[in-house]
Amino acid sequence: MHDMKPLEEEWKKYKQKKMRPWYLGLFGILVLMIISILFYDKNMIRIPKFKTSFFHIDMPNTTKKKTKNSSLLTNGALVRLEMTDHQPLTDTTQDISVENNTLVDIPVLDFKGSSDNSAFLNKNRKKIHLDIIETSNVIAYRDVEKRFLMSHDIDDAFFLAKSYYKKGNYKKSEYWAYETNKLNADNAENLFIFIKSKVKLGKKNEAISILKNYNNQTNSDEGKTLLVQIENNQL
Amino acid sequence: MKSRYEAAKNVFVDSIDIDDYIELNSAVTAYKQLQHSMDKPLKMILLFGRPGTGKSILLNRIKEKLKHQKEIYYFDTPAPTEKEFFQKLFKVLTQKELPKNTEVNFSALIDFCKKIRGEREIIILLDEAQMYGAAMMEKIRLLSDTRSVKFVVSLHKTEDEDLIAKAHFKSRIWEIIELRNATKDDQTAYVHKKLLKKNLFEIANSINSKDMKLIHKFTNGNYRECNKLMFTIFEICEYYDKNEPGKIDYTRIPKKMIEMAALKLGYIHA
Repeated sequence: MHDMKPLEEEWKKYKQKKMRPWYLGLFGILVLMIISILFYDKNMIRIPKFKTSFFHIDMPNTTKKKTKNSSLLTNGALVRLEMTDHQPLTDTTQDISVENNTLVDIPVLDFKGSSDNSAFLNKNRKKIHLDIIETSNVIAYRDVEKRFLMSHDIDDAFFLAKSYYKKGNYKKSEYWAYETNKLNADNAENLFIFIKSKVKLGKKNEAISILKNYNNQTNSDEGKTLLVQIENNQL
Repeated sequence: MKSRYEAAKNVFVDSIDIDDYIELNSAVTAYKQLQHSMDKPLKMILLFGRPGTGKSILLNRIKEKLKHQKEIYYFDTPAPTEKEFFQKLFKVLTQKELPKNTEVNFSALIDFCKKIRGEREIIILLDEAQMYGAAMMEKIRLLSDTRSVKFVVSLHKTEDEDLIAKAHFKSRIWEIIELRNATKDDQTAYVHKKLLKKNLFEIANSINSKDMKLIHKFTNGNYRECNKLMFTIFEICEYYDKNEPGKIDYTRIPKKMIEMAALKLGYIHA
């Protein structure tokens, strides 16, 4: 045997070939680990990006309890949506209190009166509780829209109306306020959003006409104030 | 300077030399079985096995062992033609040279065998019998029917030859001895004993169980392939010992060398 170099080169190639499945296996495990970590992170861990304030809403006839499920971020830009399957309503999930006077712009689907609640339980329908921690993501709103199409839940529609109005998407806030109104015509806050959206969209006369009708029927102070604001272009 | 691996390499030069015979458990069993069969009044015995399982060396060994007790002849390579085979057989049986420009009269040869029945018991070891044609095998059978000539037929076992053996010999062979490929333990003993026979203790000790597992895997327990692989391993070791001694560990055979040898012999591919 005179020259071992070609054989050595061949052996190196063989070694690489032999090790390839191991490298691939390791790579596969690594990828799986990364995926599982990401998946875990996305679904199980809440990492608020902008810590602002938490709110709790007091429900009538319930005791004050602060629960994890009701802790939501509101002032930050909304970037993440977390969906978890909840058990049917319990007292705990209803006990939501408000802190720091933060505007609630999240529909708490479990947030219903006791009669609604019992009706809900009678239906034996498993609701998906949507905790929007923070999101500016369009997908989050789309999810709520999709859910509304399936459930026709008034809270979803009202949430979308409020959220879109707050975001300045008046066309959508008008639409969702209209949808909410179809389900519950007595929601004054929703009606004001509808009217304000119309004003923002340049339909001032139409908005004033609706508001006047409302004020005539209800003699609402809030309605009157809003009318003054609209007429004085103070919106 | 002479490398220590040179002697080791030469240990594994493939041969059927009786001096190279290694007493292994499986070989001893086969030997005893063959000897026992030869003592029986059998006409034909078939020694069967894949190439490299030790058929030739077993025939050689039995010839060497029994040559002083029995009239035994070993036909190592098959005669290219029937004429040459019977000339060779004539010489063995009659112990005379065939006159020039004459041919063996097969009928006369049969008559001769019948005449010597009871007086002589001739054993003919036919190696590589798969090379003989059907017609020749038929004549061999007729000779064995005279009961004065006993044939031990060694045959390669391959897929096709397995069929030949079954079809052609089944009705005629009275005893079949099959040699199998070595187990890992047998092969380990074979390699070590071969090296120790030449006093290469250190090299024998440098081959550990893991190495033998790999060698067995590459050679599939075939002695001939094992000889080839061991020869190549030591050839590679010899090269490094002479040219790049830094790469050699004298206390063990690096796995790299075994794999390189396997690559060279085509057992594995890059």
